[in-house]
Formats: sequence, C-alpha cells, structure tokens
Amino acid sequence: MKVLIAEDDVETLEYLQSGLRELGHVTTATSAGREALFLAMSDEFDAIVLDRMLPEIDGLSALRSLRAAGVMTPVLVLTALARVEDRVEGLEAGADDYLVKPFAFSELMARLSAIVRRPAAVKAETVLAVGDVELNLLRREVRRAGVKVDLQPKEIQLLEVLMRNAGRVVTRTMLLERVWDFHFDPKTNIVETHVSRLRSKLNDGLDRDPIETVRGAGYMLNDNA
Amino acid sequence: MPRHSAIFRLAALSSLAMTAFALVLGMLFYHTARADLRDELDQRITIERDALLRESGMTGQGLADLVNARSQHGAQDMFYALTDTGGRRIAGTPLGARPALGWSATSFIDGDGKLDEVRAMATALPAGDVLVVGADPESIEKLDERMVLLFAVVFGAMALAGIGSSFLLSGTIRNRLASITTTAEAIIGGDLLRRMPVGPGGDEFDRLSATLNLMLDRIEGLLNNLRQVSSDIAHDLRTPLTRMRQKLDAGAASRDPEVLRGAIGDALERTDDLLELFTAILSITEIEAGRAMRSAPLDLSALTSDIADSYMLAAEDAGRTLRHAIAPGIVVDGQRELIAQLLVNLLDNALRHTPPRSLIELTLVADGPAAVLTVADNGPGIEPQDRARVFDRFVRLERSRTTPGHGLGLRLVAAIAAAHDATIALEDNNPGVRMTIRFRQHGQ
Repeated sequence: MKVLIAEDDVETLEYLQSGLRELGHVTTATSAGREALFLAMSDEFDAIVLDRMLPEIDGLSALRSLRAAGVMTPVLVLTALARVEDRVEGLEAGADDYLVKPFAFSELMARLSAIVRRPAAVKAETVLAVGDVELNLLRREVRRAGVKVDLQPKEIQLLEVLMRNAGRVVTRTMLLERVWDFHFDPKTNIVETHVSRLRSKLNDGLDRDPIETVRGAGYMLNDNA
Repeated sequence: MPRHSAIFRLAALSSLAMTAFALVLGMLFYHTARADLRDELDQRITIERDALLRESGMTGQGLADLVNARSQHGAQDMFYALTDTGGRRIAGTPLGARPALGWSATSFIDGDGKLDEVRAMATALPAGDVLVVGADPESIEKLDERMVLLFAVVFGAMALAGIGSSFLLSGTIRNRLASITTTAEAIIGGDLLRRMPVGPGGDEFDRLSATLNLMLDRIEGLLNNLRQVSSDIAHDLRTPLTRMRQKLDAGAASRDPEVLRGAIGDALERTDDLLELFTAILSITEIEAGRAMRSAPLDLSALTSDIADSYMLAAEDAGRTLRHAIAPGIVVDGQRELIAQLLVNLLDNALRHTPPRSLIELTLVADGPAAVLTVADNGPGIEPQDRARVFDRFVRLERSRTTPGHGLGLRLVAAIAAAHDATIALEDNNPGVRMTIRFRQHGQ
C-alpha cells in the first residue's frame, strides 16, 4: 500500500520508512505540516501516519483541514502525549486511530492494517462469518460449524473484534482498548485469560483452532478455513 | 532623608494631618474664646452706660459731672465722653474722631496725648448730646498675642515630633525588614536551611517571619521530596539498565545467534518495563497536577461489575478466588478511565501480593451520600508500621522485592482518589489487607 508519513523526528521517520518498505509498502515522507496537507490532498494514499506535533501547521489542524476538504484517507495519529484529552481531541479531529509513542513497529502495523481495510461505509451487517465461525450481532449468539457456543459478553466482544479484523493481527493493546476500553496496561493477563477461555469454548470437540497467537504481536483469526 | 521609604512618607503624612487637625481645632477654640471676651466687653460697656444714665437722672449737667468723675477716677481701661450734636466735647476724655452712633471701634486721646483704639458705644440722648462709653480690648489683644505664641510653639513641637517619629518609625521598620531581607538573600544565596528570625514578642513582624518560615519548610519538604524522587528514579533505572547492558554485551560478544536474539529480546522487555515506569510517573504527575480530569457522571456499579467479571477468570487462572457484591445504580462524578485504572490497580495488587488459594472480595455499597468501594484479601497483609508508606512513590515492601513492579501502583491509586475527592483507607482485614475508597455519590 501507499503510505504518507508526516513526522518531523528524523529517527522515527527512518524507523517507520524502513519498516514499511521492508514489508513491501511504498512510502512518501515529509516533516512539515503544510507539505503533509498538500500531499494528502492529492488523495492517492491508502493511509497516512501523522505526527501530532508538526512544524508550520500542527498535525491535528492539518487533519481537520483534510477532513473538511472531504479527503477520507485513513489516518493514524502518532503522539508523545498520553492524556485522555489528547486522545479524544485526536479522534474528534478525524483520526481513525491513535498511537502513543514509543510504540513497537508491530503495533503500528497492526493498527495501520486495521484502519486501511476498514470498509468505507459501515454495512448494516447482522451476521459476521469467518470460516465456520458465525456471530449474530443482534442476538449476540455464536455458532461454530453450526453448533451454538455459549459465551460470556466479554468473550463475544473479543470474538467480534477478532472477526472484524479476520486475517489481520490484533494486538493485545488493541484488544484492551476495544473490548475493555482500557488505555493502560493491567498487570493481570486478562486478555490472555479471555482468549484462552474463548478458544477452549470455541474449539470444544474440534481439533482446528481458528485463533492464531502471533508471537510478540497479538492474535489473529484465520479466515482461510 | 530616606527618599524611598514608604513608611517615612506615611508617618510624615500622618503627622501633617495631625498638625492640620490641631490647627483647625485651635482656630475654633480661638474664635469661640474671642467671641466670649468681646461679649463680656460689650456687656461691661452696656452696664456702665446704663448706670451713668440712671445715676445722672438724665439731666445734662449731672451727666457731664458724672462723666468727668468717671474719666478721672474710674477703671483704667474704661473711657467716657459726652459730646454735643456737633461732636464737640462737653465732658470726659477727648475723642480722636467723632464716632458713629451704636457700636464702633473708636479712639480716645489719653493723658499722654496718645490715641487709644477701643471698642465703644455711642448713645444719642434726648437733648441731642451723645454719650460715648468705650473699653480697652486689652484682654482680646492679649489673647491674640498668646494665641500666636501658642500656635508657634505647638506647631513647632508637633512638626518636630512628627519628623522625629517618622524617622524613628521608618528606621525601626526598616531594621526589622532588613533582617528578613538579609535572611531571604542568604536563602537565595544557597543557604536553604536559614530561617527568618522570630522574636519573642509575637508582633506582626514575628508573625510574618513565622509564616515565611512555614512556607520555607514546605518548600524544603518539596525539594527533599523531589531530590528523593530523582534519586529513586535514578536508582530504579540503574539496575535494569545495568542488567540490560550486561546482556547486550554478552550477546554482542557471542557468536551464537540464539544468544544474541535472547539478549535483544531481554533488552526489549526491560525497555518496555522502563517505559512503563515513565508512563506511570507521568500519569501520577498529571493526575496530581489536576490536569487530566474530565469529569462526568459515571455508573460506578456498571464499571465495577464489568471489571469484576473480567477479573474473575484471571483470578481463577492465577489460583485465587474473586468474589464480588456490587450494589446497583451507584453513580459518581469522575473520569471512567481513571477510575477503571484505580480498580484495576487495586485488583492487580490483591492478586500479586497474595498466595494461591487466597480469597479476594470486591464490594461496592452506598453509605448515605458516599459510595464505598472495598477490595479486601485474606493474604499476609501489611505490617501496621508500613501501612502509611505504601501510598508513597517507589515504595516496595521487603516481602514484595521479588515480585515485578515499580512501586507506583498505590501511589497512582492515591492520586486518582485525591483527584476525585475520594478518601482512601488501608485497614487490617484480619488477616489480609482491606482497601476502602469512599467517593461522593453524584448529586450529593
């Protein structure tokens, strides 16, 4: 994919560029807000990684102008600030996701993939289906290979996030944010516990595990079943 | 002249005001006294005239004789004259000028041929003659003289006293302030332990000095805290950084790619720990500075239930039991994320500092206007002498040295509670620890 990186810290920029290029993506980089806005207006990128603090025009102002101009390219905002207000402000400005520095490249990649493949318009889906796993969103009911599986509300939420990102890595931090609304890291492994519970209920009597653990990154629901 | 002394200016101004006030008072007194003396003089003249008229029986010759007699043998300060219609003298002392009828200031020519200015009354008699009775206003003149002298002396004295006291006052206050200034300069110069001199009198200056000393104590306490925190952070960073360096060093020296990979993995993990430590420090600083709050009504019952449900499984997996009793519908004002973090930290602590098979109880009840949240365990508990310390930064009790953590968890809990005006108490659960947080319910 084509990614625009607007970041004024040279080292972070190089880290992002080399990482993305290594994975076969095309990157365009800029370190100034005005240029970032100009480039983004061309609307030819699949995603934009935007630093919150940029010279000339700061990241959020550039983002607001971009959205006002009707450019809906997915934007991941990077920031050194971790306050609740900052995150809310970023999302209100039109960011699709928000990542606090420092971060692992795998985390950035997972989030970038998640926002890029997000369908342009949210379809009024009532049933999600990945492989032989089915989730009825209205009745909050899960079936595996046609057999009803009894899950707790949190386990269903967890499954929903995995299903909506089927085939892509979902990190532990993303799960904490989306399932629990925790923007911090608890000492207790609630994610692992819930994933393992979900797994054992989903795989009861079956030998194929659709939830793959990606070491050092997170979890992925296989969609090639 | 102390030109830049506010006190001198104030004291001088107040002396000036006092002097002006005395002047007004003196004038008033002078005018009253003068009017009294004049009335007295006028009365004397009237009585003399009435007596003359009565004693003479109103006959022309009788009056002339009487006037002559009085002029020669009467009181020294009284003057008498009788003139005809043309103003010519018939009897008595010669007049310097012909007076108008009624009250006037006129002059008599005395025995030495000098003019005496007097106050006089000229009365027209039925026959056309004019009787003039005058009195020397010596007493009034004396009063004027005395008054001038008195004023001069009093004003002189007041001005002197005013200037003197202004100097004295400004000097005294300057000296007292100078001792404070000297001490402040010494503190600025680096002698942080210096304190303002406090006299035994307990006057305004002593009270000011005492207040300043309290302020200095507070600043010193904060500085010590800062110094302590800095050295704690440095210490907490040194150990993991040293270990990280050793591992990386060993990895770099090894030819085995597995060792190198292990070293890098280990370094990454330790880096994450360090970043987490900094995140915690920043969060605490922000919450304590009160900047992170975006308060809104929050269903504490729902949030607590949600977190309790999520932790039940985790507790079970860790071999502990989590039980909860949560009253429904309790709403507090706060920030969801912070209160979630508070709950999570308390539960994390309970899980980490208790042995397997421990029981952890989470309860939420309404108690009047308060919402009372408790997290209790039946683990080994905390020694009474350590209980107050656990909310400090970087405190890790001896027993928990071996468990991972940076010792900021409860400090963060305390900061979040304080930001929500909630109180936090650590009690003995006999055995174990019971943490009680009292929030104020929304609308209470």
